[in-house]
Amino acid sequence: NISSTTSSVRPVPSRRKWFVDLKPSKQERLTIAAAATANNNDGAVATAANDTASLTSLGFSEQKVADLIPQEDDDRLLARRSWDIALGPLKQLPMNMIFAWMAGNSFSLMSIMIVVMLFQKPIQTIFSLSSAFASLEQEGVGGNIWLLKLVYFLGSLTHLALALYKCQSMGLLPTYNSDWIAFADQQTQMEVTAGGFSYF
Amino acid sequence: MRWRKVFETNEYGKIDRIIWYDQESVIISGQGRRARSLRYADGLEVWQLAATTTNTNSNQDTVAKHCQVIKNRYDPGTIHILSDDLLWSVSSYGEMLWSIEIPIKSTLKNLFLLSTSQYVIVGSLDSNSNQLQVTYYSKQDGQQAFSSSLPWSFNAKDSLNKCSTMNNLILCSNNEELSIITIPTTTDDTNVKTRHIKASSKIEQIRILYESTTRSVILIKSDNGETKIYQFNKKESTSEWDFNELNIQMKSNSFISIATDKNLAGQQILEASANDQKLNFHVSTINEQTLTNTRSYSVELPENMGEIEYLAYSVVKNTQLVTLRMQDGSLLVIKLADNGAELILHRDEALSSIISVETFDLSLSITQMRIEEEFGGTGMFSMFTKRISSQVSQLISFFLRLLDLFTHGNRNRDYLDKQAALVRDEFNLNKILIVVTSVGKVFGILTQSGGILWKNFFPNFAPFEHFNAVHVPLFHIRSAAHYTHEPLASIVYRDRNSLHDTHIRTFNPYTGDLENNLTTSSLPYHVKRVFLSTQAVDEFCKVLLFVDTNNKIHTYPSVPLSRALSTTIPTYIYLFDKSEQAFVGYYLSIDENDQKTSTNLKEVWRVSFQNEEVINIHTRLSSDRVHSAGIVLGDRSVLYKYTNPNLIAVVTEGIDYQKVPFVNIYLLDTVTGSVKLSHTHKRVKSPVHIVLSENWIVYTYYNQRYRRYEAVSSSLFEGEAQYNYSTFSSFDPIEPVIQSKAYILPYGVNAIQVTTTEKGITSRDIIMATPNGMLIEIPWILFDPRRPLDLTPMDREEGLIMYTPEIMVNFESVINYYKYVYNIRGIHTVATGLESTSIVFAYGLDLFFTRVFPSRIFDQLKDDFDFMIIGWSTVAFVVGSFVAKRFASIHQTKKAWK
Repeated sequence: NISSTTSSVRPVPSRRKWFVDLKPSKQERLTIAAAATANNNDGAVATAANDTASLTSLGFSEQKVADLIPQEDDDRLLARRSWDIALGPLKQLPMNMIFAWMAGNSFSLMSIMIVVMLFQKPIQTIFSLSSAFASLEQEGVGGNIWLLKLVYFLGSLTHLALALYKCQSMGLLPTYNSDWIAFADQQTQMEVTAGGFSYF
Repeated sequence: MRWRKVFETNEYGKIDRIIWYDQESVIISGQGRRARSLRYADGLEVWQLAATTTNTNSNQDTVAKHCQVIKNRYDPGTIHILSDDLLWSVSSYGEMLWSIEIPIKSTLKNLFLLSTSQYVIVGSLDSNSNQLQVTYYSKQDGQQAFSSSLPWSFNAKDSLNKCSTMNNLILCSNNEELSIITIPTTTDDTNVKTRHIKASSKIEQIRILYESTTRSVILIKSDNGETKIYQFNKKESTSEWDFNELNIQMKSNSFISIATDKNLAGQQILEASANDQKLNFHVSTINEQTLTNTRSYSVELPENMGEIEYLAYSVVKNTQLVTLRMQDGSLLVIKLADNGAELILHRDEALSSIISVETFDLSLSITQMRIEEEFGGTGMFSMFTKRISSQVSQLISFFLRLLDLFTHGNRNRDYLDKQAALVRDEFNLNKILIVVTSVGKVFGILTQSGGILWKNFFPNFAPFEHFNAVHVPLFHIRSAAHYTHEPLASIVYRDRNSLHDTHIRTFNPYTGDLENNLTTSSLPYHVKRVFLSTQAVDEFCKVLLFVDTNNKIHTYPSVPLSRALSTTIPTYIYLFDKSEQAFVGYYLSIDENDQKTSTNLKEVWRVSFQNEEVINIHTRLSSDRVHSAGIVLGDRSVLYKYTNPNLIAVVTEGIDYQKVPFVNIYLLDTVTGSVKLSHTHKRVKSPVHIVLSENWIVYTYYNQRYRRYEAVSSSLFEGEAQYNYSTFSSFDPIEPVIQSKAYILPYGVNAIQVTTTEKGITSRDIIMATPNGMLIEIPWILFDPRRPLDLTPMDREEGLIMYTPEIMVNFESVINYYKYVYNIRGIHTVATGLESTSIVFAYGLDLFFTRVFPSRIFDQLKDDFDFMIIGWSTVAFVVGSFVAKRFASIHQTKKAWK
């Protein structure tokens, strides 16, 4: 940040953020030399001039640099960053969709692992919701943080929905009657019957 | 046992007579149509002859057939057989000498067969003229020589029952008189002589004890118990006989047998009588007129075996052997020696006539009981004290056992082993089988060893008739679930002498001890049907419910009906009346406060059959359990099963107007009387064997047109939706959808049954007994009526197999391997404590017991499971992880120091 502001203040040759020329230029060397000879001629005045030249360190500028970073710009950046975080899950959705599609609907180790991953990730992100926004809260973003969290949460839910859809297409969801039939109780009998052939 | 020969199950296996020779015996079977010879040494069938018969309509009048077999006394190697209208002779070395067909006349019935040195004589009754026509056929070639006739006063039926033949004599009993008719043996002598012997009362039985060309002995038994023995001696050079009575003192229940031996001077006569558990023998030698050298023997029997049913006395190499068949089916061989009689063989042949089987769980061990007790209570404090006390007692018994082990060692090991055999195992795999045999002997058999634990013989036993089989109701009065009370079983049977009297015997299935409180011989009503109450009354005991001939229902022991039957669920009773060929349904209404012990039944429906005869009724097993209410289809929808527990299968037989025989199968709802399924099969022969379980039925029959055994499988479904998921009533307006498929069986069928498991989760297998001695286990999936003709992916998803008409049987599915069992009449299956395992007990001539796993062993470890490897690798992993942990921590410390 600071380097960028410096560069904005004092344009330097490209590829360099900043530099200090420790080697005095020829002109300066000449002035120093002239001062030295002048010092030989009339010492006091020359020494004084030499002093001022040696007191200022290299790259030192007497000129005051103005603080150019405006407050509004900072807010904008913060907002951008927070939205980046909030929309993070949503941005990953296409990738997961491709993953899910690649895994296919058959049962194999890969597809099972991908399904597990599809469930694991959004659940993890939901649980790490507060920690994801912790840095933002430190920087004092109040106001719309709830909105951000909501977006983040909804984004994670889309992942969960994707995972459920995947399970559904793989036939893992107990959505049919047939999935519950094993738990059905036996029908109770409304009549009792006995008998057979008669002996006489 | 050295060898055994199992004959056919059809009429050709029915033995008419056995003629014994020195090395082999000739067996005439199939109403005189088959003759075969078996060698004693190895049981080899040396030869077999079939009668050459031209009339093919023999199967129509099999009932009327009558057969006489005699050995020619003058030529012992020749056997003459008269089978209805066929007369044939075979020689003992397997040659058919000749065979003639006697001309058939409807009024003429061939009754008697006699033989002389030259002729074979057939006596036929002419019912028109009441004359006995005696025809002489040449012994050499069967040519008819001449015939004569004599007046005859008996009708055909009486002649068969009351007359016997002996040499050239016909003996007929006529009330108090025995007529001895001498048939002349040569052409020149045509004089028929009749003489009489008077008896003191009506003659019941004439038995020929001994017969030779010169001497015969007969026994005459009167109905007042008097028995007389007459000896017949042939007069020199005539065909006439002299007779005299032998003065032998006999008890009314004694049996007589006569043995001859070349070494003996005359015949030895043996008189045997049974007295409780004792057999008494008297051996005498017959001299001309009197008996000499009487000697008595007696032998103590190991158990009560009832009366003697058959007695044979023989002298083999100077050893006197008595072979007896007792009333309880036991086969006894007793050796009579100078130092007394000795029982040398006892076989329970009754076990080949099992008619009812039930299984009981074994009792809980003491520790198992304590556990039951420990968790039995309620309330925190009582449970706590129970727990402490039971654990203390466990500790004490442990120390006692240790002490016992140190002091007594292995001394009472046998006793302990025997006790251990009676204790339930962990998975309830071992049980006790209670089998009732048709002779009235009840056995308790342990399944793990097949050993007979106890046996009880009920002398006055007669089973109930069940179509063409016999049947004895056997009930679990109290099951083994109540560990504080011993289980009880009851059998109900008729009295041998007065068939309307019913006996109830209740016994403990572990010991066979009779429970006298629940045993009776006098019910004040004639029993039409007996069944078990649905609810336990006193001390977890169920009661027996009897329907009497007046359609009244009674309880035994007498308790109010409202306690024996549920008052909330109505009870329906159905009875099949054989004379009316009708099923009648009755409704039993019980008021909760009613204390009546008997009530009248109210008829609610009636299904009668016309032009067809009901030949069998089949009910489902009481242990049948349905776990899933439906079948999951390929598209994951559900096809709901129509599991109506009130269904019974009815098999009828008849001949239609085109003279084609047919068999009908019905599924009858016994609550409403409605028919849920009916199948007709034409040109099909019974027996029809049925399995009815869950929502399906499988039955087998013989197809006469294609000459093969077939099975038909049908399933009943409610459809895609269930009418009522929580309750089932037969009155629900459900029209079941029926799917059926027919299959061709590779073998014939003697009996079929379905496996039973505790919860019904395991898939079903059909156990089939075949006539060639195999027990085959076929998965029901192969009989599935939903097997498709062309397999769609959806069917494949469902796990269906494509339909092929033949059911292929792997030899791996033969569950008895090479231990072939023959003439199986029934198969009994029971659930065990393991859901995967079902017990199979097949009974008939042979008994076979095994366990089957219809869905493989899914709830237990395989036999070859290596416990050592698992155990040691677990130990190794635990040790390894500790070692690794230590190394890891050392490594971490070192790394930290770097």
